Amino acid sequence: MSSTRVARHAVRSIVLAAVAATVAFTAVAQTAKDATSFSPGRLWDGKTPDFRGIWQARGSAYVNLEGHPGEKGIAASASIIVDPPDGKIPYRPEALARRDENYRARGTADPALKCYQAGVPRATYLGTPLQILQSPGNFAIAYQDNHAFRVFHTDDRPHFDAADWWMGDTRYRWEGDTLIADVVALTDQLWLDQAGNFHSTEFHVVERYRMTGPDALEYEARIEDPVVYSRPWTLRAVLQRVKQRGARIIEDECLDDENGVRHHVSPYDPRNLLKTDYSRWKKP
Amino acid sequence: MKLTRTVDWRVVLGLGAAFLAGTGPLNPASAQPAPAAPSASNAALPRLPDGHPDLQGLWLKSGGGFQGLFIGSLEGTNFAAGGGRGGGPPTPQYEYTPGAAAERAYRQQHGYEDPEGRCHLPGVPRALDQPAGLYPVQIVQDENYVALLHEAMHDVRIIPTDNSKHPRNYSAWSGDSRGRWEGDTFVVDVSNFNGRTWLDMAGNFVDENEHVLERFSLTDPNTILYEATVTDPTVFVKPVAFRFTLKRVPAAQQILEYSCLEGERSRQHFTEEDGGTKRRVVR
Amino acid sequence: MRRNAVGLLLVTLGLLAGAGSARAHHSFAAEFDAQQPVTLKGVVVKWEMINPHGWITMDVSAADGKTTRWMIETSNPNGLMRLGWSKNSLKPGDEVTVEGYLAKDGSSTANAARITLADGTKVFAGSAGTPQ
Repeated sequence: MSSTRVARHAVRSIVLAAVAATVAFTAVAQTAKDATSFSPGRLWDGKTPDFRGIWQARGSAYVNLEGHPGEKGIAASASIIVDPPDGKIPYRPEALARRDENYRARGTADPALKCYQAGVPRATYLGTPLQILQSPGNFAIAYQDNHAFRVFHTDDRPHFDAADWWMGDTRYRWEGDTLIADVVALTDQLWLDQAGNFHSTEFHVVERYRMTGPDALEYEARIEDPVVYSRPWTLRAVLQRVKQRGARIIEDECLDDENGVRHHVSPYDPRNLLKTDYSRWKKP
Repeated sequence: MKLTRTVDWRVVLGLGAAFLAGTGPLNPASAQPAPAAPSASNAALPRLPDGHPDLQGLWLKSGGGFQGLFIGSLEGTNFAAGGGRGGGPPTPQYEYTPGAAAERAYRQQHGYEDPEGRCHLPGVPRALDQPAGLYPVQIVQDENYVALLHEAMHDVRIIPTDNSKHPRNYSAWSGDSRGRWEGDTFVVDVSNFNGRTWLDMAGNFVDENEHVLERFSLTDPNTILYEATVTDPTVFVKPVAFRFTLKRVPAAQQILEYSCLEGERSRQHFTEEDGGTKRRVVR
Repeated sequence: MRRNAVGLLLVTLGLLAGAGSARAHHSFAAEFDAQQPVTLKGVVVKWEMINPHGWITMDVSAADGKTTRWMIETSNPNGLMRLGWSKNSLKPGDEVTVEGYLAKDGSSTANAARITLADGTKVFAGSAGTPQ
């Protein structure tokens, strides 16, 4: 009878192992599910996901989307391109040559140096924060950088793409708790980062905004441009909620220095203040 | 006939119909239910759940009869009816201190020094005091702020309503705004200006001592009455009053982009007598 | 219907010009000379609907066959866009006649008071302050 006992023991062990494995698998699955299915709060209509607040990307992808080794006190960054897997923008050969030219000229040719708006998707992963403004039926983003803003329009109306703009034209919809935004009408004068990555006027972005936690907003941009890229590609960044009490988007205007070079001058910088000099009217 | 293909009469008719039907994603009346109003006289105003009037929508400064390029204006100005010029809003009265008066006279002769001509922010109240009918402002509102997104210069003013104080050591083109509700009027206190803005193209100006008290009143679902009192003791002998209305733009319209710095190419041609670097040439 | 559409376009633009409500964040007079009108007939190279002013790049041929490239400044495009204009309203190769005013600095730059398309349609496209 020992073989039966052994068999029963074996069966029990197998069953226990299977149960344990199932429990473990379920636990892992549950954890993974929690991370990807965070349920955000709702606006006062009880249904629209609430993404309101001030958000800011960490890291330095704004220097170079494809990653960079760090420079001048700026920490290194890995590529934020998640597709293709090699983390490189799939340029057509002639476009790659142009990107490399841009890179060499980046000290002067970057439109951001002239305080031009950063465009989409660059404005999302800058080092400065953005604020999501929402109410039922309204969704807009105010970017601190150069006080750019985008009003998102529901996609029941076609794109208004009469011109090439710096912040594009955006039509959006909700899919569950993910906001999906379709963006066109972006000028080819824009760069995607400080490294000269660029696009043509055929540029088309599909953005996905999804909260993965109470203070984390995952941003994904699926990008295509048949003129410049050989295939579509995707970047991903996570924005963190700015939680300090009283935190605000502050005004961001540039001033020209004596050489005509523009500089962002913060309202907290005493140089922003110009005291009118009435003494020029005093008679000697 | 290229142009007639691009002018879509269905859009024109649609604008009028959309306005009459009060539909569209930006019409607050369709967005949330209106709780009980505090008094019978303003019971028709749309309100947010916190009870305050809903100022949201796309708004355009009214210039009397003419509504500029927004077809289907709410004042009934339409070209078939011959339009109407009407009276515009009252002109602000400026009484300058002696030193400031000389400065104003100088600026009036040197209009090219207007920083708005270099694509700088217009300041307050100039950002709202647009030439009638041209550049609208989008208002988004919740229980914590009223946000103004201006088409002109893509100016943004997010006004908190959390009883917070003005910051110290902060001077900005648009100043710093703190809002509160007094009954159904949205009152905004604006200070911390950087002294760089003009009030208009005619050289009327303010300095860093500017302070503005604004009042936004939704007088009917399609009209905001805007009043602002500008005090600046170094510039004006008495406060300057601004008063005009903003009219709701039909929901089929949208705010457009006005990227000034990026496209500015006119100043390179200014001649020396107008603050430029070029020599005047008569051909 | 077509004629009415054009009529509306012209009346609208004309009212805009007459009302003087178009913002000139700079004045016409700082850049152009109302005493130096010009008529330019040529071919569109580029049409840029940018702010604060739109720009038409056009090649104008003189009688001697010499071609000069002109930059034509138009009014703020947002108003034009709301009337149905787009970046495709003027295409490279389109023949246009521009009536306007010369820049004071002697460059090949003009402010467009009126644009006439190849099919004869007249469009007002000038900025505030442009003389009628």
